[in-house]
Amino acid sequence: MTAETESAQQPEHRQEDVPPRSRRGTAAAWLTTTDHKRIALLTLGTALVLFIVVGVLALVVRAQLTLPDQHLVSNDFYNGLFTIHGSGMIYLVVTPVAIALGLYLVPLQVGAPAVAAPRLAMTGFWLYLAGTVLIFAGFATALGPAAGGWYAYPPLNSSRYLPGTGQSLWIAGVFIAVLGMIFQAGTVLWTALLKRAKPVTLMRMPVFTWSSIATNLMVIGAFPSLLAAMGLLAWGRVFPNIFTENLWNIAYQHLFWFFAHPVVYVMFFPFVGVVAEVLSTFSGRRFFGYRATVVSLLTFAAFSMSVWGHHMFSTGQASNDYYSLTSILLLVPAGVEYFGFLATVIGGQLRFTVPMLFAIAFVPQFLIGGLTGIMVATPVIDYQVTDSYFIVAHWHYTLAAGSLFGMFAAFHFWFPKATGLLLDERLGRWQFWLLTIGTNVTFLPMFWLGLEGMPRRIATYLPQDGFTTANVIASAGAVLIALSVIVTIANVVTSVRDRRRPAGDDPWQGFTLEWATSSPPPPTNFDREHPLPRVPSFAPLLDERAREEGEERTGDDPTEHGGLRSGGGR
Amino acid sequence: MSPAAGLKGAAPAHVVGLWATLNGALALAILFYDPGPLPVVLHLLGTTLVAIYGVAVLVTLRRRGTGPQLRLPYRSVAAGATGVAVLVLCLAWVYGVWVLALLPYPLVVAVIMAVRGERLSAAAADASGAPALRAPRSVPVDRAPTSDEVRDRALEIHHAQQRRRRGEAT
Repeated sequence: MTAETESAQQPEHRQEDVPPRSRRGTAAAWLTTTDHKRIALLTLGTALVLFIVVGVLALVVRAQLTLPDQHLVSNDFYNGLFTIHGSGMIYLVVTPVAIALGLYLVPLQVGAPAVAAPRLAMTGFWLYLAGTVLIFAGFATALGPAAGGWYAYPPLNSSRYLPGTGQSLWIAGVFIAVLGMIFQAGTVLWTALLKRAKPVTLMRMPVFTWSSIATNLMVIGAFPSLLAAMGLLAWGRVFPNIFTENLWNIAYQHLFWFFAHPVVYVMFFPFVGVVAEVLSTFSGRRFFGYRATVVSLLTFAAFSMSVWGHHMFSTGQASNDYYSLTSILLLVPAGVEYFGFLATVIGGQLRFTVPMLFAIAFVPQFLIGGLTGIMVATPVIDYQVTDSYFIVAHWHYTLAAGSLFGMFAAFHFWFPKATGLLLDERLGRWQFWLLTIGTNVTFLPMFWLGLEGMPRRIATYLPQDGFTTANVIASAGAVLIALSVIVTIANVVTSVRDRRRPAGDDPWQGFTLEWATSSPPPPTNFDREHPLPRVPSFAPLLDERAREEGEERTGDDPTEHGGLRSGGGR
Repeated sequence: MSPAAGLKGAAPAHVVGLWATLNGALALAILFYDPGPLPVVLHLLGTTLVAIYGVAVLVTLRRRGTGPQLRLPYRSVAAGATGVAVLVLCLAWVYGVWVLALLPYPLVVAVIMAVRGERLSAAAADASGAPALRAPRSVPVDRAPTSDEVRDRALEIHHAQQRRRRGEAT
């Protein structure tokens, strides 16, 4: 064939939906991608970097509080540190990880080649990144970063009491970062509900996908309330007089907590799904009580929308009866989920891999966070411990001892899928034990500090207050947490650099569809070499293995009598 | 279509709808405890947002817009430009309206890219010269297609041919 005829047969345009292999690795390909996995990895990578940055701020806070009457940083800067630590962890780390984990996994788990509206999802990432830049830009302003706490109550946060550009940048940053998360959540929810592969019916979706659905329903319903709250605060920055009317201060609190209670559930629901997947995989059994768990996840999410007022008991502007009743009702769906966890593990053939260790630790530690949450949602207790370190301890047991363990379970479980490389088990176990001991040593004494009367958000205290011993213990625990993070970084760096442990497609003998494709998955998730298997239930690969084992045992080959067989070429 | 089949087919909308209904009931229950209007209104507004999402799901189901996402833009420059535009708007609130002078640039890029720049032309073809109207390809399935899937595929090809005839982009 001559060069002329060859060029004549070339099409005028090339298919450019999937960049050629040579271009897929470039920075431009990553930054303009429409591949849900890459968008998710960009979001997750940014969040994990911020986790380290915001964690360093917490170490400075702990260093300041270790001994009485210390002044490592000024009081104003201390306010900035705990504000950026709290708001950073919530708005920029755990929430984005919770949503982006769904962005990565949900299309794979429902057998879809792509996420719905990928450009909207990518817009979500850019807004999140822009919000991050704005929030941290406060450190470069004359009066320092935002210093009004992650809830930014007026009138303190009006321009009259907290002047300076840092606070305004924080409001703008939170607004657009959260807007970005709404965009991503909307696309993931749409994909799970409407873009599934045909064989994947709703009741064949894995527990993680259902947890992602419940999470994203809360995002759609509750997150716009924060946009309204930030809008009100922005208005108050321009016209601070509006906050002389208490109506607007209370209205702000309603708007804020209508977002801020569900966001707690947004920050742990996906990890409940993660723990369910990890426990069932490493117990070698399908998840116990699947249907009940699905119903309980959705009910739990709905109830979580109606408990926000328990954060406002001490204002006297919220009904004690209603909000404490709905808060206590949460125990029922939570109990169903916990029953599912335990019943899956009991009697299973357990494999104590690193993700399994994190998942097992999640169960009792998150229980402490949850039960103390019910305690503080009871008015008589709340009036005693509100604004004390008891709340700090409860909050950190929920997010650090709970969600963070779910996050690391997910990290160790799906890292091989995303990179094609296994992490080092020995370093993983070091990380696990350092984190487990560090977390409990840091946050358990804070319950005692709260009951002893140590208030939140104080920059220092006096020796005669009696807070020293518990603070020294808590700070020692924080060092262990920092060490565990260093071990994690070393684990990732050495694993990626040396590439000595290729993962294969399914290193854990997983149950769900993402383990049926390559590691990392191809651009459109499933291809000729990795077709979508049969999906008879929410654990299709377990079914497949059981069927193949049955065939081997009986010598029966269904293809001989017209049946369909997996694993064969097409 | 039998009513049972219709119910089953609309299951995703029912999930969202039931969730919104439960939220609505919880919102109205506040009235028995708290006479103030703000919590009820706030809760009902949140519920309405979810309900609107549910209606969008229902409309999509009725229009048979379900099944894997098969058409994709091949890049997302518009997304980055939109992010920059929103960033500029926020900076204008913080530093003053003069920042808005920067707004047209990312906005124009976002609009042009969203409308034209990131879609494949009707004449686009893949490496083998086959029409690339619907890209990426459907997920390969490890079994023989059912008759429903054969019918759906035929319908997709028919629609693709119609779009191609009209010279529409994907």
